[in-house]
Amino acid sequence: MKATTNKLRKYGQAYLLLLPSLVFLLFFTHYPVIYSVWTSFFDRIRGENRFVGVANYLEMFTSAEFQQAIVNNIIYALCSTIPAVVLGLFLAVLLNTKIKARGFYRFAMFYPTILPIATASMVWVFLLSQSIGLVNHVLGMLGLPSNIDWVNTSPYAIVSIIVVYIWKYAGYYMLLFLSGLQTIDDSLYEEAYLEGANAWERFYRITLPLISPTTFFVVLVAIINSFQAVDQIYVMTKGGPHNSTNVLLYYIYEHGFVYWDSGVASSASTVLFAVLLVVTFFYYYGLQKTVNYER
Amino acid sequence: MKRRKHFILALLAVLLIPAVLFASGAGESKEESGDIILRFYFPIGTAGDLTNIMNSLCEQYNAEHEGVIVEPIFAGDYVQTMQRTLTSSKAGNPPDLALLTSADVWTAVDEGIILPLQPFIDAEGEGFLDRFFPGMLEDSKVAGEFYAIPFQKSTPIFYYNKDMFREAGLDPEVAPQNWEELEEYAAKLTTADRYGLEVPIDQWLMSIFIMQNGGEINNIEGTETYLDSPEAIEAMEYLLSLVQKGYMPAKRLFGDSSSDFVAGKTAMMYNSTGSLAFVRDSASFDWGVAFLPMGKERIVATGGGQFVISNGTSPARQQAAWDFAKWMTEPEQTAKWSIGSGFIAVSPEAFELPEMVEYTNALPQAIVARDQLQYAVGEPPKTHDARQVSQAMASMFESILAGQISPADGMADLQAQSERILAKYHD
Repeated sequence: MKATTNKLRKYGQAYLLLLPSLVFLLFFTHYPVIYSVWTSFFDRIRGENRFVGVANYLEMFTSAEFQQAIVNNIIYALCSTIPAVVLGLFLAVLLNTKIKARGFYRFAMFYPTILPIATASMVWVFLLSQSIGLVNHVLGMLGLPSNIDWVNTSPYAIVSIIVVYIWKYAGYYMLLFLSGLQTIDDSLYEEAYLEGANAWERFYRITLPLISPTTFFVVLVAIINSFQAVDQIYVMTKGGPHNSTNVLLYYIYEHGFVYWDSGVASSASTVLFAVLLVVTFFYYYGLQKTVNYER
Repeated sequence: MKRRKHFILALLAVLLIPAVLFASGAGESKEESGDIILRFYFPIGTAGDLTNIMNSLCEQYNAEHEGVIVEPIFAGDYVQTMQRTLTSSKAGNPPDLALLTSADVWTAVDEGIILPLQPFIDAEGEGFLDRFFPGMLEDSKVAGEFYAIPFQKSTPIFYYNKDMFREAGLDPEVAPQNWEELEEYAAKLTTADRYGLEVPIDQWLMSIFIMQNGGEINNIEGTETYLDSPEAIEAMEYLLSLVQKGYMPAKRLFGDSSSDFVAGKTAMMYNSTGSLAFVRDSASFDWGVAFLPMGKERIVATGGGQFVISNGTSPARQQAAWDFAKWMTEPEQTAKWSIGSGFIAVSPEAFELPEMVEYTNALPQAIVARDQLQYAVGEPPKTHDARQVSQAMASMFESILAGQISPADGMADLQAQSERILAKYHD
């Protein structure tokens, strides 16, 4: 009893300070998660919730729309995350060297990150327009096929979405990588240089291992970002044409807030939650060993 | 020790602030001097200073009517207006009125948040509904019962570029009358750098083709669809042939088509009357509008928003909401809204008013839209979960026109999808 009082005295203030965020987490994260799992076992019909067991999950998994949304999401996650991270790293390494107007280039590359994604997507819709868009215009000047209806035809629509994602996030990842690069001691490079290591060897043997904590973090953020894509799709394609850009979160939005089918929307949310949990778990525990934390 | 107490008190105070705010906000909105304050959610689908026109209409109502203050609240587009209406109704704080699109009126009825309006209509006496174009009333009914009254209505019309007609040797005063002529004209008007025709893909326009071909979309109870009928398949085959022959792009949306039209990238288009003002302001060529070319039948669908009244308020507020909705649909007000917004005035009488005559003299195309209303039906599909059925339709039409699935297989699949969606309404 005495020990508890002591503990309370010792940590009480810390708990008290944590209390507001704990309350918010409970009410706005944990409770909704549990509630949406609960809701996923009910079907909404004529304004009433009726218990249906796992029928929502069955309905969802057997529907072509959902299957396609999953496939689309995997394509989208792979094809947007990998290039954006690689490009971000490439830009970071490039802009970490002492070149002229470095600040300007860094800003220029980071700039897309500042724009709200909805605004940026709207601008891209115009850039990608078949008849009046700049992209087709430039392709035409280069003598390439220039009558492409980017956002309205498959497979160009998902390509457009991926390109906009890379454009939007590569600069952000660059910034994260830059901060990682700044922590590497220059003397390591000088030594390697004197030993006769070429640029690739210096990158591969020094930079890559030493920024692995940053890489670890960036890749995780990138994967989660790619599963959270919804505003961009809402503005650019609304999941079309013929479902080719429908992804999990957009599927949830549409079923939840356009069709008011809370059962299926909750089932899909539960699936998304499980997917992200599993990805994070394996990523965290699987890769942690290979990450080089210099302490 | 004392410092710590102060600290804890301060922290508690900070934590209490939201609670206090909540408590004060949850009370009924203050109704000073006993006036009824009506909260009215309205959407705006098209750009412009429509919010100002809506505000000035409400101000006029407030000035002319004692004891009631209407508070217009801009709620985004139709989907967002429904989101706000449904969520705030479920939270026990419903708007008194909202303008919803036809599909969402069905959902509002299924969710039990709006009033049946037949008692109000009966109380107005016989002939009250005569103020509306009959074709506009269908969207106000759910399974045959009135739950809404029309306010901002639009309909598709046929736009064509008269200069391009002349260039192709066609009479610029005569638009194609039927599907055969439509194809013939499209063939003549298609060139290397423009399409002959654009039809935006969605369930609204494609359903019109099906109905013009003698097909039906759904039953009146809204529990069944007939999308795999031979008439429906044939209509899709017709549209697909236009795409395959290169007269028409596989996919355009309403906005894309109107910008293509004014940019001279297409010679003819199907589009909403909502685009009239945009085309008038942006087209640098001679253009005209006409009735949609007919299939076996001449049919056009209406769309847009109608007033609904919440059932979660007191009878006095419901009556006040009805009175306001009724006033808004009178000829003077509907004319003002039509002139400012480009929607079609809901009352035939409105077209007799001097300000409306002035407007239609400057934009005679609006008269064509009015005259076409004699062939109007409601916005399809008229079913439960209509948004989900619509989306399935639009998505399948895209697949068919993109050549990914044959019209027969696609429409059979679509019918199966809609049967799955509607299965729960069969008991």
